[in-house]
This record gives sequence, structure tokens and C-alpha cells, in this order.
Amino acid sequence: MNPFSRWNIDVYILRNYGNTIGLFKDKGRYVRRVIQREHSNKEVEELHLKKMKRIVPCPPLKYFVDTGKGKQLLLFQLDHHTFYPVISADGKLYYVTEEGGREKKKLLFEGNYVVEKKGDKEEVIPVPQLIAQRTYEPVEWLTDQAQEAVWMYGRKSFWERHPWLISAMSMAVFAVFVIYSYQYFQQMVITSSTQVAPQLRAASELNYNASLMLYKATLLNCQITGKCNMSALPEIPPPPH
Amino acid sequence: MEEEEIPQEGEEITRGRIPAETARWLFDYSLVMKQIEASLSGGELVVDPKYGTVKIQNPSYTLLSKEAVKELMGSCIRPFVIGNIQGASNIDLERLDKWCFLLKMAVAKFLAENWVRYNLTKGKASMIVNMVVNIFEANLSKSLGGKSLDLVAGTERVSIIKSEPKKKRWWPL
Repeated sequence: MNPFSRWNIDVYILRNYGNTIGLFKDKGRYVRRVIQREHSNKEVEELHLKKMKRIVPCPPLKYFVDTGKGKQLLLFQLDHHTFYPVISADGKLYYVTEEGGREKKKLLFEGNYVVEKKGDKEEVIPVPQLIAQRTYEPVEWLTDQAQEAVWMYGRKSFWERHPWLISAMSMAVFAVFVIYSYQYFQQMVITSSTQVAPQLRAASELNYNASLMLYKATLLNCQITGKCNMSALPEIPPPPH
Repeated sequence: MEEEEIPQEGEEITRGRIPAETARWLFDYSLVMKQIEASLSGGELVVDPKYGTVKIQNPSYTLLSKEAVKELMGSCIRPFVIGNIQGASNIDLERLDKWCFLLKMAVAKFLAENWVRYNLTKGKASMIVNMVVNIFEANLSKSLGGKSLDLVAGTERVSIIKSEPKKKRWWPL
């Protein structure tokens, strides 16, 4: 088995719970293995399921649907180890079985909705949303051509091809500037509060002492002269904080 | 005996050579069209010795059918080439790139629309597009700065001289 092969197949496993159909999403990969025997070798095609940790015989490749990124496969689980490929026709789901070397399709479910269990919650999914639609070939090709044409004949210099890089870089520089300036501002506030505050406190104390002196001097003047004009007295200043 | 002139120092050798400015590919509409048509139909261009005209020989029509080639040439490539190049007044490398881009997209759109009718696959279609654009680009880029493209892009000066009408005399003499 190739250890570098990716889980590139989206496997949707449908189970029958009485009247409803349950859905289980899984990832898978296609493996081709050679079993060596004494006199002969045998090639086996397998489908490895990631979450279920199970190896099942691979259904024919015509049931795989290309989605662009990878492939999609719908399977109907009947038993622990029996899986049948599922196809949709006329908005209904059928599963395909082999009987006597012939393929027979049997009706799986008439409704248009499937229930998916996510732990305790349940989600209802419509069937056409489940099945991946095949992308229209020329449209895909046209987009490729457009990309190629832009690359060949479009703008050639680096800054013309990626003009958004300029704005992104300027935004980054601005963000760094804002962060550093905020830091600087914060530091300034702290230094001012630690260095300027004691000086302010000292100044206010000095002011208080001076006004007290003036008050006492006026009182003394009143006592000496005997004339006391109360309106001339200055108010007692408020004490410093 | 004729004596050969020995070039002195500092003298450029220009005798017997064509200057680089005039040695350009001669751009011709009909030849470009014929080249594209020949490559699309899988044939080769041959000069008819009797009349001296260019014609396509042994077309195989493996890539596209005869009708498809006709449709592509008539409805997509010919109107594009004639409509764009004839109307241009100045042809340089930037404009050539733009034309190539537009031609490529026009052909690709045309093929995508008629994908089923022409029995196309991805490989076939991209081969056709590349062939058309490469021939167009090669012919134009070779003849850039030459006399033939200058003639195509140049405009004639039209001067109108009006003679002043005679003044009417109120006195008939």
C-alpha cells in the first residue's frame, strides 16, 4: 500500500433506519493490491474507509463522480461488511446489486430528504444537494484558457500582477506604527505621573504656607493697630490634598 | 585587377547589407488568413505556378471539418483581424499582447459554444487555439516597426481648400 496516497474520495454511506435513511460522511481511498501466491498472483481493488477503519471491495469506477477536487461515492450499507453503490434517477435513490452476473437496481428510498446525525443533533439534507453535479467540460476548459491568456499576454511585471501587496504592506506598517505609538504614549503618562506629581504636591504645600503667613500677619496688624477690618482678612485657604 | 577597399579604423561596414530597420517581415492580411486556414485544415501552402497565387494543398480536415474551418474563419478570425488591425493608428508591443489575449479568448469562446457540434476534446481545442494565436502573433511581432505595418497604421492627410465666393456687387458693373 502506498503510504503517500491521499484520502481523496468523499464517501457518503447511507443506512436504513426503518422509515428514514441515515447518512454518515467518510473519507476513502482507492487501492490496487497484488496478492502473491505460490503459483499465481491476484490483483485486488479495494476501498479503504478512514473513519470506519474498514476495507471493502471497490465498486466499479463508473459509480465515482468527479467533483473537481476529488471524487464522490455514494454507498448503501446493508451489513457490517456489505456495501452497494447508489445511483440517483428521477430524484430517487437506487442501489445496485449483482445477481447472476447482471446488475439490478433496486429502490432504496422514495423521499427527497436524508437525515444526518451529528452527535445528539440531527440535520435534514435534501437528496439533490448530496449528489455532486458533473462540471461541464468546455466551461472548465474555457476558464483554464482565460487563466493562460492572462498569464501569457496580461500584465507582466510583479507589482502589476499583485497590486494588492502594496496596500497590504502599507496597512502592516501603519499597524506597527499605531502599536508602537500607543506604547510610547502609555510610557509618557506613567513617567509624567511619577516625576511631575511630587513637584506639584510640593508647590501646593508652599502655597498653603504662604497664605497662612499672610493670614497671621493681618491678624497681628489688627492686634497692634486695634482696628480690625474683617472684610480685609483673606479667607483661610483649603488644605492641600 | 580590382583592388579591394580595406575598411579603415572606425569605419562601419554597411556595404552589401540591409539595414536592420528595413529588414522586416512583410505583413499581409491574406497570407496570414491563408496560413491559419491551412494549419486548421491540415494542409500546406503552395504557390500556383500558372497564376502566381497562393493556395492550400492536400487538406486533411482531421482537427476540424470543412464547415467548421469555414465557420471559424468567417465568423471569428477574419472579422477580428480586419476589424482590429485596420482601425489601429499605432501598433506596438503592448497592443499586440492585448490583441493576442482578445483573439485567444474569442476563439476559445467560439469553440466552447460549438463544443458538441465539432466533436471537440480538451486537447484538440487547446491545440487549435494555440495554432491560431501563434501564427497571428508571429506574423505581427516580426513585422513590428516595419514599413508594411506603418502603411497599415498610417493615415492620409486630407486637406480641403475652399475658394472664397465672389462678393456680390450691388452695382452690376
